[in-house]
Amino acid sequence: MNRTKVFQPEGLSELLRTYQKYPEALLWAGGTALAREDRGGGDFDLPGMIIDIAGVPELQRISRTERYFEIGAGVSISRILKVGQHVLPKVFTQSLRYISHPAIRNRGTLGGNLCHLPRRLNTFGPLTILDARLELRRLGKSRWIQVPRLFSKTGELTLQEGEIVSRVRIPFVEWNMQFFQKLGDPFQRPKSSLTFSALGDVKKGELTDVRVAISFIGKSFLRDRELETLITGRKVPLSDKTRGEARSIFRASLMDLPGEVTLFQKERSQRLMQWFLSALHVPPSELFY
Amino acid sequence: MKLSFTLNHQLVSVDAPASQRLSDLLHDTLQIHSIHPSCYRGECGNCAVILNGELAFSCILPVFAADKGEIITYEGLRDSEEYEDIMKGLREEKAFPCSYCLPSKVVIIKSILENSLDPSTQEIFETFSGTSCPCTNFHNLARGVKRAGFHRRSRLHE
Repeated sequence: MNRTKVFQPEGLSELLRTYQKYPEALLWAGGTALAREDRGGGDFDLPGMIIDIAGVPELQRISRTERYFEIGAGVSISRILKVGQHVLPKVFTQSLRYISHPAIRNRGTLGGNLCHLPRRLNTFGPLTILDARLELRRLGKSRWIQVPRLFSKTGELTLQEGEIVSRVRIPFVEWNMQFFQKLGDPFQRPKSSLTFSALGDVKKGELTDVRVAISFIGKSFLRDRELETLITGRKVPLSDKTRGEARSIFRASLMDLPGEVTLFQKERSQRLMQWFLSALHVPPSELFY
Repeated sequence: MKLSFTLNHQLVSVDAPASQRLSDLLHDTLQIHSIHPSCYRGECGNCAVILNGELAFSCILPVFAADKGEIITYEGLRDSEEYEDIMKGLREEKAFPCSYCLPSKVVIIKSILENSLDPSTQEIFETFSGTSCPCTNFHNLARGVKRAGFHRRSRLHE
Protein backbone atom coordinates (compact mmCIF):
# COMPACT_ATOMS: atom_id res chain seq x y z
CA MET A 1 0.00 0.00 0.00
CA ASN A 2 1.22 3.46 -0.92
CA ARG A 3 1.98 5.36 2.30
CA THR A 4 1.94 8.93 1.14
CA LYS A 5 1.82 11.49 3.92
CA VAL A 6 -0.28 14.53 3.07
CA PHE A 7 0.18 17.89 4.78
CA GLN A 8 -2.70 20.34 4.46
CA PRO A 9 -1.46 23.72 5.72
CA GLU A 10 -4.11 26.34 6.43
CA GLY A 11 -1.93 29.40 5.96
CA LEU A 12 1.14 30.59 4.06
CA SER A 13 3.48 30.59 7.03
CA GLU A 14 2.48 27.04 7.93
CA LEU A 15 3.03 26.03 4.29
CA LEU A 16 6.50 27.62 4.17
CA ARG A 17 7.50 26.05 7.49
CA THR A 18 6.37 22.63 6.33
CA TYR A 19 8.11 23.00 2.96
CA GLN A 20 11.33 24.12 4.62
CA LYS A 21 11.22 21.07 6.85
CA TYR A 22 10.39 18.71 3.98
CA PRO A 23 11.80 20.26 0.78
CA GLU A 24 11.52 16.91 -0.98
CA ALA A 25 7.73 17.01 -0.64
CA LEU A 26 5.63 17.52 -3.75
CA LEU A 27 3.51 20.67 -3.80
CA TRP A 28 0.01 19.73 -4.91
CA ALA A 29 -2.15 22.58 -6.20
CA GLY A 30 -4.85 21.40 -8.61
CA GLY A 31 -2.80 18.36 -9.56
CA THR A 32 -4.44 18.23 -12.98
CA ALA A 33 -1.25 18.04 -15.04
CA LEU A 34 0.35 15.50 -12.71
CA ALA A 35 -2.80 13.38 -12.60
CA ARG A 36 -3.23 13.40 -16.37
CA GLU A 37 0.27 12.07 -16.79
CA ASP A 38 -0.44 9.19 -14.46
CA ARG A 39 -1.65 6.81 -17.14
CA GLY A 40 -3.98 3.90 -16.57
CA GLY A 41 -6.27 3.09 -13.69
CA GLY A 42 -5.42 2.14 -10.13
CA ASP A 43 -4.08 4.46 -7.49
CA PHE A 44 -1.85 7.42 -8.26
CA ASP A 45 1.86 6.90 -8.13
CA LEU A 46 2.55 9.55 -5.50
CA PRO A 47 5.81 10.36 -3.71
CA GLY A 48 6.19 9.84 0.03
CA MET A 49 5.18 13.36 1.01
CA ILE A 50 2.72 15.81 -0.44
CA ILE A 51 1.84 19.34 0.61
CA ASP A 52 -1.69 20.12 -0.52
CA ILE A 53 -1.84 23.90 -0.93
CA ALA A 54 -5.54 24.14 -1.77
CA GLY A 55 -6.39 25.42 1.70
CA VAL A 56 -3.89 28.30 1.79
CA PRO A 57 -5.95 31.51 1.53
CA GLU A 58 -2.96 33.77 0.75
CA LEU A 59 -2.44 31.89 -2.51
CA GLN A 60 -6.08 32.31 -3.53
CA ARG A 61 -6.15 36.09 -3.68
CA ILE A 62 -6.64 38.31 -6.70
CA SER A 63 -6.04 42.04 -6.46
CA ARG A 64 -5.84 44.96 -8.84
CA THR A 65 -4.19 48.36 -8.76
CA GLU A 66 -3.97 51.05 -11.45
CA ARG A 67 -0.68 49.63 -12.70
CA TYR A 68 -0.97 45.89 -12.36
CA PHE A 69 -3.07 42.83 -11.65
CA GLU A 70 -1.88 40.35 -9.02
CA ILE A 71 -2.95 36.74 -8.97
CA GLY A 72 -2.16 34.22 -6.25
CA ALA A 73 -0.42 31.11 -7.53
CA GLY A 74 -3.21 28.91 -6.17
CA VAL A 75 -6.03 30.68 -8.02
CA SER A 76 -7.82 28.38 -10.44
CA ILE A 77 -7.77 29.06 -14.17
CA SER A 78 -11.59 29.32 -14.22
CA ARG A 79 -11.58 31.95 -11.52
CA ILE A 80 -8.97 34.06 -13.30
CA LEU A 81 -11.10 33.95 -16.44
CA LYS A 82 -14.22 34.83 -14.51
CA VAL A 83 -12.68 37.74 -12.63
CA GLY A 84 -10.22 39.07 -15.16
CA GLN A 85 -11.52 38.33 -18.63
CA HIS A 86 -12.35 41.98 -19.35
CA VAL A 87 -9.29 43.55 -17.78
CA LEU A 88 -6.42 41.15 -18.28
CA PRO A 89 -4.41 41.23 -21.53
CA LYS A 90 -6.12 39.15 -24.19
CA VAL A 91 -2.95 37.22 -25.04
CA PHE A 92 -2.99 35.92 -21.47
CA THR A 93 -6.72 35.16 -21.18
CA GLN A 94 -6.63 33.40 -24.53
CA SER A 95 -3.79 31.18 -23.28
CA LEU A 96 -6.00 30.26 -20.31
CA ARG A 97 -8.96 29.45 -22.55
CA TYR A 98 -6.77 27.03 -24.47
CA ILE A 99 -6.26 24.98 -21.32
CA SER A 100 -8.31 21.84 -21.71
CA HIS A 101 -11.98 22.10 -20.63
CA PRO A 102 -13.84 23.70 -17.69
CA ALA A 103 -13.64 20.64 -15.40
CA ILE A 104 -9.85 20.85 -15.64
CA ARG A 105 -9.75 24.65 -15.48
CA ASN A 106 -11.79 24.57 -12.25
CA ARG A 107 -9.01 22.60 -10.58
CA GLY A 108 -5.84 23.68 -12.41
CA THR A 109 -4.01 26.69 -11.00
CA LEU A 110 -1.82 29.41 -12.47
CA GLY A 111 1.13 28.38 -10.30
CA GLY A 112 0.76 24.79 -11.43
CA ASN A 113 0.64 25.81 -15.07
CA LEU A 114 3.86 27.79 -14.65
CA CYS A 115 5.84 25.34 -12.56
CA HIS A 116 4.88 22.03 -14.13
CA LEU A 117 7.95 20.14 -15.26
CA PRO A 118 9.13 19.07 -17.74
CA ARG A 119 6.79 21.23 -19.80
CA ARG A 120 6.36 24.93 -20.13
CA LEU A 121 2.63 25.11 -20.55
CA ASN A 122 0.29 27.76 -21.95
CA THR A 123 0.87 30.74 -19.70
CA PHE A 124 4.67 30.86 -19.78
CA GLY A 125 4.97 32.54 -23.21
CA PRO A 126 2.30 35.24 -22.69
CA LEU A 127 3.54 36.09 -19.19
CA THR A 128 7.11 36.37 -20.51
CA ILE A 129 6.27 38.87 -23.23
CA LEU A 130 3.96 40.80 -20.89
CA ASP A 131 6.93 41.37 -18.55
CA ALA A 132 5.06 39.71 -15.70
CA ARG A 133 6.90 39.13 -12.44
CA LEU A 134 6.70 36.34 -9.94
CA GLU A 135 6.90 36.60 -6.20
CA LEU A 136 8.89 33.74 -4.71
CA ARG A 137 8.52 33.05 -1.01
CA ARG A 138 10.35 30.91 1.46
CA LEU A 139 10.39 31.05 5.22
CA GLY A 140 11.34 34.59 6.22
CA LYS A 141 12.30 35.69 2.70
CA SER A 142 10.68 36.86 -0.48
CA ARG A 143 11.95 38.04 -3.86
CA TRP A 144 10.54 39.06 -7.22
CA ILE A 145 11.83 37.70 -10.52
CA GLN A 146 10.95 38.07 -14.19
CA VAL A 147 9.04 35.05 -15.55
CA PRO A 148 11.88 33.72 -17.79
CA ARG A 149 14.13 33.48 -14.74
CA LEU A 150 11.88 30.79 -13.31
CA PHE A 151 13.81 28.34 -15.50
CA SER A 152 17.54 27.87 -15.98
CA LYS A 153 19.09 27.63 -19.46
CA THR A 154 18.79 23.89 -19.22
CA GLY A 155 15.09 24.14 -18.44
CA GLU A 156 15.19 23.35 -14.73
CA LEU A 157 13.22 25.34 -12.15
CA THR A 158 15.43 27.87 -10.40
CA LEU A 159 13.47 27.81 -7.14
CA GLN A 160 15.62 27.41 -4.07
CA GLU A 161 15.05 24.80 -1.40
CA GLY A 162 11.75 25.41 0.36
CA GLU A 163 10.78 28.20 -2.07
CA ILE A 164 7.44 28.54 -3.79
CA VAL A 165 5.85 30.82 -6.39
CA SER A 166 3.26 32.77 -4.42
CA ARG A 167 2.01 35.56 -6.72
CA VAL A 168 2.07 36.63 -10.34
CA ARG A 169 2.06 40.34 -11.14
CA ILE A 170 0.90 41.34 -14.60
CA PRO A 171 1.40 44.98 -15.59
CA PHE A 172 -1.33 46.85 -17.45
CA VAL A 173 0.16 48.02 -20.72
CA GLU A 174 -1.89 48.83 -23.80
CA TRP A 175 -1.16 46.64 -26.81
CA ASN A 176 -3.31 46.98 -29.89
CA MET A 177 -2.25 43.65 -31.34
CA GLN A 178 -2.30 40.51 -29.28
CA PHE A 179 -2.20 36.96 -30.48
CA PHE A 180 -1.98 33.51 -28.94
CA GLN A 181 -2.09 30.17 -30.66
CA LYS A 182 -1.59 26.68 -29.30
CA LEU A 183 -0.95 23.80 -31.65
CA GLY A 184 -1.23 20.20 -30.53
CA ASP A 185 -1.82 18.62 -27.14
CA PRO A 186 1.27 18.95 -24.92
CA PHE A 187 0.30 15.86 -22.95
CA GLN A 188 -0.51 13.52 -25.79
CA ARG A 189 1.76 14.85 -28.54
CA PRO A 190 4.59 16.80 -26.94
CA LYS A 191 6.82 16.40 -30.00
CA SER A 192 4.47 18.28 -32.28
CA SER A 193 2.89 20.85 -29.98
CA LEU A 194 3.89 24.44 -29.36
CA THR A 195 2.48 27.77 -28.26
CA PHE A 196 2.97 31.04 -30.14
CA SER A 197 2.41 34.32 -28.30
CA ALA A 198 2.76 37.78 -29.81
CA LEU A 199 2.21 41.39 -28.82
CA GLY A 200 2.45 44.40 -31.07
CA ASP A 201 1.79 48.09 -30.80
CA VAL A 202 1.15 50.15 -33.90
CA LYS A 203 1.05 53.94 -33.76
CA LYS A 204 0.60 56.09 -36.85
CA GLY A 205 1.22 53.13 -39.09
CA GLU A 206 4.50 52.29 -37.39
CA LEU A 207 5.24 49.21 -35.33
CA THR A 208 6.52 50.85 -32.14
CA ASP A 209 6.97 47.68 -30.12
CA VAL A 210 6.73 43.99 -30.86
CA ARG A 211 7.33 40.84 -28.83
CA VAL A 212 7.09 37.25 -29.97
CA ALA A 213 7.67 34.08 -27.95
CA ILE A 214 7.43 30.46 -28.92
CA SER A 215 7.34 27.71 -26.35
CA PHE A 216 7.97 24.20 -27.57
CA ILE A 217 6.19 22.74 -24.56
CA GLY A 218 9.28 20.80 -23.56
CA LYS A 219 12.25 22.67 -22.13
CA SER A 220 12.87 24.82 -25.19
CA PHE A 221 11.70 28.36 -25.47
CA LEU A 222 12.48 30.96 -28.10
CA ARG A 223 12.22 34.71 -27.91
CA ASP A 224 14.04 36.13 -30.89
CA ARG A 225 15.27 39.60 -29.89
CA GLU A 226 17.13 40.09 -33.17
CA LEU A 227 13.92 39.64 -35.11
CA GLU A 228 12.03 41.95 -32.75
CA THR A 229 14.69 44.64 -33.17
CA LEU A 230 14.59 44.29 -36.95
CA ILE A 231 10.86 44.87 -37.31
CA THR A 232 10.38 47.42 -34.50
CA GLY A 233 10.04 50.94 -35.91
CA ARG A 234 9.07 49.71 -39.40
CA LYS A 235 5.94 50.77 -41.23
CA VAL A 236 3.23 48.15 -41.47
CA PRO A 237 2.41 46.22 -43.51
CA LEU A 238 6.02 45.12 -43.59
CA SER A 239 7.76 45.21 -46.95
CA ASP A 240 8.65 41.97 -48.72
CA LYS A 241 12.32 42.69 -48.07
CA THR A 242 11.83 43.14 -44.29
CA ARG A 243 9.68 40.05 -44.10
CA GLY A 244 12.35 38.07 -45.95
CA GLU A 245 15.08 39.29 -43.61
CA ALA A 246 12.92 38.51 -40.57
CA ARG A 247 12.25 35.01 -41.84
CA SER A 248 15.97 34.35 -42.32
CA ILE A 249 16.78 35.57 -38.81
CA PHE A 250 14.04 33.39 -37.38
CA ARG A 251 15.20 30.36 -39.36
CA ALA A 252 18.72 30.82 -38.00
CA SER A 253 17.41 31.08 -34.45
CA LEU A 254 15.47 27.87 -34.89
CA MET A 255 18.65 26.11 -36.04
CA ASP A 256 20.32 27.06 -32.75
CA LEU A 257 17.64 25.33 -30.67
CA PRO A 258 18.55 22.07 -28.93
CA GLY A 259 17.82 18.73 -30.55
CA GLU A 260 14.69 18.06 -28.51
CA VAL A 261 12.77 20.46 -30.77
CA THR A 262 11.55 18.38 -33.70
CA LEU A 263 11.68 19.40 -37.35
CA PHE A 264 7.89 19.33 -37.36
CA GLN A 265 7.74 21.86 -34.51
CA LYS A 266 10.27 24.06 -36.32
CA GLU A 267 8.23 23.92 -39.51
CA ARG A 268 5.03 24.76 -37.63
CA SER A 269 6.62 27.71 -35.86
CA GLN A 270 8.07 29.04 -39.15
CA ARG A 271 4.65 28.99 -40.74
CA LEU A 272 3.08 30.77 -37.77
CA MET A 273 5.84 33.38 -37.88
CA GLN A 274 5.33 33.83 -41.61
CA TRP A 275 1.63 34.37 -41.01
CA PHE A 276 2.30 36.78 -38.17
CA LEU A 277 4.67 38.92 -40.25
CA SER A 278 2.20 39.16 -43.10
CA ALA A 279 -0.78 39.85 -40.81
CA LEU A 280 0.72 43.01 -39.29
CA HIS A 281 -1.58 45.65 -40.74
CA VAL A 282 -3.23 48.96 -40.00
CA PRO A 283 -5.90 48.76 -38.69
CA PRO A 284 -4.94 45.57 -36.91
CA SER A 285 -6.19 42.46 -38.58
CA GLU A 286 -9.32 41.01 -37.02
CA LEU A 287 -7.26 37.90 -36.31
CA PHE A 288 -5.65 39.83 -33.47
CA TYR A 289 -7.51 40.39 -30.21
CA MET B 1 -5.60 8.89 5.68
CA LYS B 2 -8.76 9.93 7.51
CA LEU B 3 -11.10 12.03 5.43
CA SER B 4 -14.39 13.68 6.11
CA PHE B 5 -16.59 15.44 3.59
CA THR B 6 -20.20 16.00 2.74
CA LEU B 7 -21.51 13.62 0.13
CA ASN B 8 -24.95 14.42 -1.21
CA HIS B 9 -25.75 16.48 1.89
CA GLN B 10 -24.60 13.79 4.33
CA LEU B 11 -21.41 13.88 6.34
CA VAL B 12 -19.10 11.00 5.47
CA SER B 13 -15.94 9.90 7.26
CA VAL B 14 -13.68 7.34 5.61
CA ASP B 15 -10.18 6.00 5.87
CA ALA B 16 -8.50 5.71 2.48
CA PRO B 17 -4.96 5.73 1.11
CA ALA B 18 -4.00 9.24 -0.01
CA SER B 19 -3.08 7.94 -3.45
CA GLN B 20 -6.53 6.52 -4.15
CA ARG B 21 -8.55 8.20 -6.87
CA LEU B 22 -11.67 9.98 -5.71
CA SER B 23 -13.69 8.19 -8.41
CA ASP B 24 -12.65 4.81 -7.04
CA LEU B 25 -13.46 5.82 -3.48
CA LEU B 26 -16.91 7.01 -4.52
CA HIS B 27 -17.67 4.03 -6.72
CA ASP B 28 -16.08 1.13 -4.85
CA THR B 29 -16.24 2.19 -1.21
CA LEU B 30 -19.16 4.57 -1.02
CA GLN B 31 -21.30 2.72 -3.57
CA ILE B 32 -21.99 5.69 -5.81
CA HIS B 33 -22.78 3.74 -8.95
CA SER B 34 -23.58 6.69 -11.17
CA ILE B 35 -19.81 7.24 -11.34
CA HIS B 36 -18.21 5.22 -14.12
CA PRO B 37 -14.45 5.65 -13.91
CA SER B 38 -13.16 4.65 -17.31
CA CYS B 39 -10.52 6.85 -18.95
CA TYR B 40 -8.61 7.87 -15.78
CA ARG B 41 -7.33 10.90 -17.67
CA GLY B 42 -10.15 13.40 -17.26
CA GLU B 43 -11.19 12.97 -20.86
CA CYS B 44 -14.51 11.09 -20.89
CA GLY B 45 -16.47 12.88 -18.16
CA ASN B 46 -18.17 9.74 -16.86
CA CYS B 47 -16.94 10.41 -13.34
CA ALA B 48 -18.24 14.00 -13.17
CA VAL B 49 -19.15 15.36 -9.75
CA ILE B 50 -19.73 18.80 -8.31
CA LEU B 51 -16.93 19.43 -5.85
CA ASN B 52 -17.27 22.54 -3.70
CA GLY B 53 -19.74 24.00 -6.17
CA GLU B 54 -17.63 23.40 -9.28
CA LEU B 55 -17.58 20.70 -11.91
CA ALA B 56 -14.74 18.21 -11.38
CA PHE B 57 -13.77 14.90 -12.93
CA SER B 58 -13.14 12.65 -9.97
CA CYS B 59 -10.83 10.20 -11.79
CA ILE B 60 -8.02 12.76 -11.85
CA LEU B 61 -8.41 13.79 -8.23
CA PRO B 62 -6.77 12.06 -5.30
CA VAL B 63 -9.05 11.48 -2.33
CA PHE B 64 -7.46 14.23 -0.25
CA ALA B 65 -8.79 16.84 -2.70
CA ALA B 66 -12.24 16.18 -1.23
CA ASP B 67 -11.25 16.44 2.43
CA LYS B 68 -13.52 18.86 4.30
CA GLY B 69 -15.29 19.59 1.03
CA GLU B 70 -18.72 19.03 -0.40
CA ILE B 71 -19.51 16.56 -3.18
CA ILE B 72 -22.73 16.30 -5.12
CA THR B 73 -23.27 13.38 -7.47
CA TYR B 74 -26.17 12.33 -9.68
CA GLU B 75 -27.72 10.53 -6.69
CA GLY B 76 -27.79 13.78 -4.77
CA LEU B 77 -29.59 15.59 -7.56
CA ARG B 78 -32.27 13.05 -8.41
CA ASP B 79 -34.83 14.29 -5.92
CA SER B 80 -34.42 17.96 -6.71
CA GLU B 81 -36.50 20.36 -8.81
CA GLU B 82 -33.38 21.11 -10.83
CA TYR B 83 -33.23 17.50 -11.90
CA GLU B 84 -36.82 17.64 -13.14
CA ASP B 85 -36.05 20.79 -15.12
CA ILE B 86 -32.97 19.22 -16.68
CA MET B 87 -34.81 16.05 -17.69
CA LYS B 88 -37.73 18.03 -19.06
CA GLY B 89 -35.39 20.20 -21.14
CA LEU B 90 -33.53 17.19 -22.54
CA ARG B 91 -36.75 15.36 -23.38
CA GLU B 92 -38.29 18.33 -25.12
CA GLU B 93 -35.26 18.81 -27.32
CA LYS B 94 -34.84 15.11 -28.06
CA ALA B 95 -31.43 15.16 -26.45
CA PHE B 96 -31.84 12.31 -24.02
CA PRO B 97 -28.43 10.66 -23.43
CA CYS B 98 -27.83 6.92 -23.12
CA SER B 99 -28.22 5.38 -19.69
CA TYR B 100 -24.44 5.02 -19.31
CA CYS B 101 -23.62 8.70 -19.61
CA LEU B 102 -26.92 10.20 -18.41
CA PRO B 103 -25.73 10.69 -14.79
CA SER B 104 -22.57 12.53 -15.82
CA LYS B 105 -24.42 14.66 -18.39
CA VAL B 106 -26.97 15.66 -15.72
CA VAL B 107 -24.16 16.63 -13.35
CA ILE B 108 -22.43 18.63 -16.09
CA ILE B 109 -25.68 20.40 -17.02
CA LYS B 110 -26.24 21.22 -13.36
CA SER B 111 -22.78 22.83 -13.24
CA ILE B 112 -23.51 24.86 -16.40
CA LEU B 113 -26.81 26.12 -15.00
CA GLU B 114 -25.12 26.92 -11.72
CA ASN B 115 -22.99 29.47 -13.58
CA SER B 116 -25.77 30.85 -15.74
CA LEU B 117 -29.43 30.04 -16.29
CA ASP B 118 -29.08 31.35 -19.82
CA PRO B 119 -25.78 29.85 -20.98
CA SER B 120 -24.40 30.51 -24.44
CA THR B 121 -24.01 27.68 -26.95
CA GLN B 122 -20.25 28.19 -26.79
CA GLU B 123 -20.20 27.76 -23.02
CA ILE B 124 -22.22 24.57 -23.32
CA PHE B 125 -20.01 23.14 -26.08
CA GLU B 126 -16.89 24.08 -24.15
CA THR B 127 -18.08 22.30 -21.01
CA PHE B 128 -19.10 19.20 -22.94
CA SER B 129 -15.75 19.16 -24.76
CA GLY B 130 -14.50 17.20 -21.76
CA THR B 131 -16.86 14.30 -22.52
CA SER B 132 -16.60 11.60 -25.13
CA CYS B 133 -19.85 9.58 -25.26
CA PRO B 134 -21.24 10.04 -28.78
CA CYS B 135 -24.81 9.02 -27.93
CA THR B 136 -26.30 12.51 -28.20
CA ASN B 137 -26.21 15.12 -30.91
CA PHE B 138 -24.38 18.05 -29.33
CA HIS B 139 -26.57 20.67 -30.98
CA ASN B 140 -29.67 19.00 -29.54
CA LEU B 141 -27.90 18.73 -26.23
CA ALA B 142 -27.11 22.45 -26.23
CA ARG B 143 -30.75 23.21 -26.99
CA GLY B 144 -31.77 20.84 -24.18
CA VAL B 145 -29.52 22.68 -21.72
CA LYS B 146 -30.96 26.02 -22.77
CA ARG B 147 -34.47 24.64 -22.45
CA ALA B 148 -33.62 23.33 -18.97
CA GLY B 149 -32.35 26.80 -18.09
CA PHE B 150 -35.62 28.25 -19.33
CA HIS B 151 -37.64 25.87 -17.12
CA ARG B 152 -35.42 26.66 -14.18
CA ARG B 153 -35.86 30.41 -14.68
CA SER B 154 -39.62 30.00 -15.00
CA ARG B 155 -39.78 27.98 -11.82
CA LEU B 156 -37.70 30.51 -9.92
CA HIS B 157 -39.96 33.34 -11.05
CA GLU B 158 -43.17 31.53 -10.15
